[in-house]
Amino acid sequence: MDYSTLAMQLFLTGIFLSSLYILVTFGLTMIFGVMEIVNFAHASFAILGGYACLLAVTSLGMDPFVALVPVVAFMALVGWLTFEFFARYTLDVGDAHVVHYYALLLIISNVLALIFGLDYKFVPSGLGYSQIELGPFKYPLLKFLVAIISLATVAGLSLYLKKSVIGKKIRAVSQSKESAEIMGIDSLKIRRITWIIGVSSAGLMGALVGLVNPFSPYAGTTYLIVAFSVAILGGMGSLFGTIVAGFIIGMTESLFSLFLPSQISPVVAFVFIIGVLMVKPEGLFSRA
Amino acid sequence: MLEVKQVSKYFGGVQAVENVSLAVEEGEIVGLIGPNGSGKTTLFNLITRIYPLTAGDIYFKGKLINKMSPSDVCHLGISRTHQIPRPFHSLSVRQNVSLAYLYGRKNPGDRAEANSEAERLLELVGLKDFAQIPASQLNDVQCKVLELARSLATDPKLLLLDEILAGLNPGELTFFQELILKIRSELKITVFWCEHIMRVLMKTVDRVVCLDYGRKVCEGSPSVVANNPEVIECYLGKAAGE
Amino acid sequence: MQAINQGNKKTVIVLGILTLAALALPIVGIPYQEYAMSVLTFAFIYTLLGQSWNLLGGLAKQFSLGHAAFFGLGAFATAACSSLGMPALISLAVGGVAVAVFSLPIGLICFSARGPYFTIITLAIAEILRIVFLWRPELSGSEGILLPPSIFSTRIGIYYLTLGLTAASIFTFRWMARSKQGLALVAIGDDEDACSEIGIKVKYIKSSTLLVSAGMAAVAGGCYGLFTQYLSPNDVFSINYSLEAIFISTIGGIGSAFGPLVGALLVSLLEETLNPLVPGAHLLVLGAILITIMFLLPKGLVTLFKKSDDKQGPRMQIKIKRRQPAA
Ligand SMILES: Nc1ncnc2c1ncn2[C@@H]1O[C@H](COP(=O)(O)OP(=O)(O)OP(=O)(O)O)[C@@H](O)[C@H]1O
Ligand SMILES: [Mg+2]
Repeated sequence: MDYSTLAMQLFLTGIFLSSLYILVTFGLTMIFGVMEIVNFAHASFAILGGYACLLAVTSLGMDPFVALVPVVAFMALVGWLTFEFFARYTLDVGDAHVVHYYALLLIISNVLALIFGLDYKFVPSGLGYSQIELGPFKYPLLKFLVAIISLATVAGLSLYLKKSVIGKKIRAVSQSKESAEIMGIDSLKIRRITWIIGVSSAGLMGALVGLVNPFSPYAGTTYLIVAFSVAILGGMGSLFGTIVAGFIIGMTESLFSLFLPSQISPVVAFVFIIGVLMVKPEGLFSRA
Repeated sequence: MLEVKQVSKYFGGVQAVENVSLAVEEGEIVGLIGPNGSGKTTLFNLITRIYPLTAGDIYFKGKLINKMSPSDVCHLGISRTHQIPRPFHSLSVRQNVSLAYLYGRKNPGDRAEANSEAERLLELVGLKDFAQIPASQLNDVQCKVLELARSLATDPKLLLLDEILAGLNPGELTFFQELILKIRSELKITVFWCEHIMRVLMKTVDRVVCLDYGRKVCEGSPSVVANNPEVIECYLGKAAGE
Repeated sequence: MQAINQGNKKTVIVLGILTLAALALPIVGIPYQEYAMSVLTFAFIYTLLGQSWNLLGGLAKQFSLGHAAFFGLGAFATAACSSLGMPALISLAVGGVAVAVFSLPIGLICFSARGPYFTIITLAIAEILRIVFLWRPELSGSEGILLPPSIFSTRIGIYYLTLGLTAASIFTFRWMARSKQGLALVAIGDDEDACSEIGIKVKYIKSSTLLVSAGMAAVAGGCYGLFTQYLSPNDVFSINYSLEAIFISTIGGIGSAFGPLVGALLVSLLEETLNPLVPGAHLLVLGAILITIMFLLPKGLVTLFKKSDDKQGPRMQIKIKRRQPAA
């Protein structure tokens, strides 16, 4: 393999990883910004999305990419239910809320373990090893599609937050809940919407990951740390920071995959974030 | 005793403190005034080393304290109260003070000594009857007094008071004014005091420093500063100053 | 901190009777004896783990999500010593000390951050260890490792060992909580900056507490290894142990000396009862119980045993709702 092909491979893999990392972090950081909640159960929702997609494909016989639509709808329902019966009651318990979310994490992952067992599963995509030709380069079609879908989702969400009325309200609440309420914004409603968006986007990310990598009920931990790494690096609550940080971490991981065996590639992100926090304890792009 | 030399602190683009130099001599009570957001609290946070400096040097008793940790600065003899009181809510009132005694001094005694010293200080500030209750049950004024007792327990040479009078009624104002004078005369503690309530401040202090937008506007005896056109301007605006 | 009243005779008598009963259990034949011993053994191991978390999390509100790191390292260190031929008890001690020393650089790393950032670093450290142990066959690899049998792989041996260690951990906690350092830890949980301004060396206090905490978790892991005689990274470094450590001290009552014992009994009872029926179900039930308790009894189950005027003690709430200063 010559150098330009190698560089292109690394670049595309970096984009692929980054797109997933940004997608899963988006919800996490939005929920933190708007609800002031550190959602340790976030990655469990991703894994739940993976299993939902698995069911839609294997039991209902849907095409995996078509199945993403009902999966997102299902995750939105899960988001609504978890908000109404859980999250809204954790809004005023202070930092102790982390324990509630540990409990939620434990419940979701172990419900999945009870239903699906501890074995690693993956969603059959039907695309096998087919490659896409990008000029002189080749790249696995599946990964390419996954990256496109998650980048499109991120772009769509960013646009929604920027342009739509609800999006503006969401940003208002995340800047100051009190001021937003004085302006007549129903902050509970905004938080509900934020939570549902967060949960659904996590579920979508999980379904997409499930197409590419095998997953198990406990696999959320890895994505949880990655998501937090991206969120912290980007400055918790900052969407623009999330996108930049997602690319930094995705690209770094892709680069290190040259030197490191694949089992330990997640360690790169972990070490990276530990280093960042040691130097700048509030994150790189933090507002303070 | 305290020398602040060309100190600056920027928060991103905000110049909270800009090239400020001032000195506080032993035995003085020096007032620090300035409109909201002029950098008074930030200056205190720089002196106690809660924030790193952007530029400049701070000396205390001839020692450069720029690079010291907040706890070392405390051991050198600087202690402060907060604009918004920050007592330890999970501890009792007496524990708040005895903890400061145990950790704030170079050679603290044992727990029993700490407790009796705490009782003594609580009596001084008028909180003796509340010694056993949790600090979380105090009201705002009591929290301020508790913070004062806690700072005194570290055996400071220099006490930084941050708007300790805000929100007090006239009776409490007189109590605090007398207390501050007593702290200087009986405990031999130098006081650097940031305050908005001019009526009381100007009557109590030897000297006043005025900040505006992070810069030192003027410095001098209370009567000089009170009549300085620039000071009046920064409080009341241009038209009034002319 | 004041889990039991000093000089409260009734409490002392009840505790004395319970201790005697625990001591007599393996000797006196009763129905379900084996079941009870097994529940209690795991409860004791969990108490050690929960107590270790409690030192930092309960007193100073440093919510570590990485105690599995120390648990797992302790287990593997003990295993390494025993396979070198050291006696089991020595292996356990060496493992505990080694992990305690190892915690010093860890403390340096994770105490540079606060709040959720601290939590994430601890979680990442445990996860890095899991991945590295899985990766390197000389450490363990995915097959895991076996420990040689010892007196502590018998039911009765491990029972008395963990019983003794549990008692020791409770005394250690009480001693720490009532010491000068314990007071400082509670204050650190309230307001770190205010602590450093009254001369407390916050990082030093946290790190020295982590030393004890890590050692305790490592001994818990060591006991686990000695008894089960088999260790795999996916098990001992799993986030489940970190979560259980938190639940055990939170369910029982955060920051109280007997809280972890109460929580650990509950966890172990659930595990031993439900696991044979539906593997993993106990974690699910645990999560549900925890949520219920967090909403209904934020200070944990031990509040049920306290008189109403004795409910002080460090509160879970960290964020102090401050009144805004008048503009
Ligand atoms: N941690 C911080 N991060 C960013 N900006 C800050 C921070 N602390 C203070 N500032 C800014 O620095 C400036 C000075 O603030 P400071 O609190 O020192 O004012 P002050 O003189 O104490 O005002 P007041 O009289 O209202 O207490 C303000 O513009 C404030 O917004
Ligand atoms: Mg101020």
